[in-house]
Amino acid sequence: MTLFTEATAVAAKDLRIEARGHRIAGSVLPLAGALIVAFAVVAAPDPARTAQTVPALGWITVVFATVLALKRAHDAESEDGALEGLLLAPVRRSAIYLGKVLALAAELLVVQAVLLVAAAVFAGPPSVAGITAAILGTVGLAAVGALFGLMTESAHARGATLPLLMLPAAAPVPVFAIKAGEGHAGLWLPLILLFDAGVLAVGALAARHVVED
Amino acid sequence: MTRRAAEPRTTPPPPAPAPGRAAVYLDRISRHYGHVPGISDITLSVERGEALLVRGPNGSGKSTLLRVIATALTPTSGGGWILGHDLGTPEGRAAIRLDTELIGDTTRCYLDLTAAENLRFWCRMNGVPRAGVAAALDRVGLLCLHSDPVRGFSPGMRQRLALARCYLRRPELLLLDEPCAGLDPDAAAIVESLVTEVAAHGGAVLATTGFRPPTFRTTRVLTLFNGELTADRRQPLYGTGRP
Repeated sequence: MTLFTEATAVAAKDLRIEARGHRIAGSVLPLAGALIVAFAVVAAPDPARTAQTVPALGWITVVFATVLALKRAHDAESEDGALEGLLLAPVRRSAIYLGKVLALAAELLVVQAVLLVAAAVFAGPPSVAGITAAILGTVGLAAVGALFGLMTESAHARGATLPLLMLPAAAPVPVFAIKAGEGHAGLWLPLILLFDAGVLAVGALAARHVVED
Repeated sequence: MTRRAAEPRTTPPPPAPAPGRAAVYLDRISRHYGHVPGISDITLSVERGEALLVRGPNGSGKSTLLRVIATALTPTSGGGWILGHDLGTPEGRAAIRLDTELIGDTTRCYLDLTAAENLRFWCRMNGVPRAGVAAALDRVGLLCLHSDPVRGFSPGMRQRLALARCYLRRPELLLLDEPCAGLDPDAAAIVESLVTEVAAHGGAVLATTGFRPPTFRTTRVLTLFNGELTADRRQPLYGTGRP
């Protein structure tokens, strides 16, 4: 099998599990909607403040969704030792990592799409640069999350370890994305792209060492 | 629990065969968990067609030995060849995984997927045609539950699902860690037929047990104690009460 085939098989499996549990849709989206509505109502007299606040709220929500999705993935892989089965199959380690990035990115993009619609309602339609930054930033979050997710899963670390490790590494993503959406796309979009490429490359190369026991 | 003194080794270590002939050849393999030795300095050769029983008390290293052979654990020192592939290189370990199946205390299923979905996923990961999924489920008595999530399965049913995975993969090297624990007599018979098939087709089987006799025929018995190989006897053993 090719790397792409293996990665898409892993991603399809993760997405099927998420579709069964509806954990993201059932918990993150209502929270996201409530947060944005609450802050939009509070900031309603000041459209400028609303426009500044809503993107940051959106990224906080996406980061929260990332941690939740990784927790769900951790549970699915650790129950009954499923991850070990994946590691004992003749599958490239980089394919396992990239498959998890694909699945996580797909889940987070759904959250992003809902948030962008909510943001459009309260703060006006986002710019093309803002949408691009949202997509690229989501991929970056997925790349970081999948890497640290595999790391903590393989080390049998407690679930609370993951956010402690992941959040500092993922911190540049929302900063770059918000800046790109504020009209400095020429500088910040390439930075997001560079960040994504760097993390994906490191993750694909390091996956074997991360999961070997 | 106090440990008895280790029994002295009763047989000399086997001579090193040509790496390509033996199903398993380990050369002074050790695996430590921090400072605690899981297995120490084990040299072992298993020919194709053999069915070995690995015996020993709890904590003697039986599971560690199987997991090292299966490449689930990396040896701390030593080396070996599994099915003609070098255990010490990433390429060798990847090749070992192609034809080796480990059934252990966890069945490695995704609990939110159905039985059939689990098998189809494992077929895809192992490059095995998915057409045999229904037949494999039927053979282990789970065909009627193929669309049920594995989360609702009992431990014995999950173990049957793991056996179905073996039937699909038809591994050359089958590693069974306490294979009959929690299984009813019908399921234990499935294990027996699987062991017989693998050995008859030129594969090799290593199965662990405490000190209970196996429910399938074995041709050789290894004894581990405190992570060390203390006995290696060519001694046919059969299921309880069977000739």
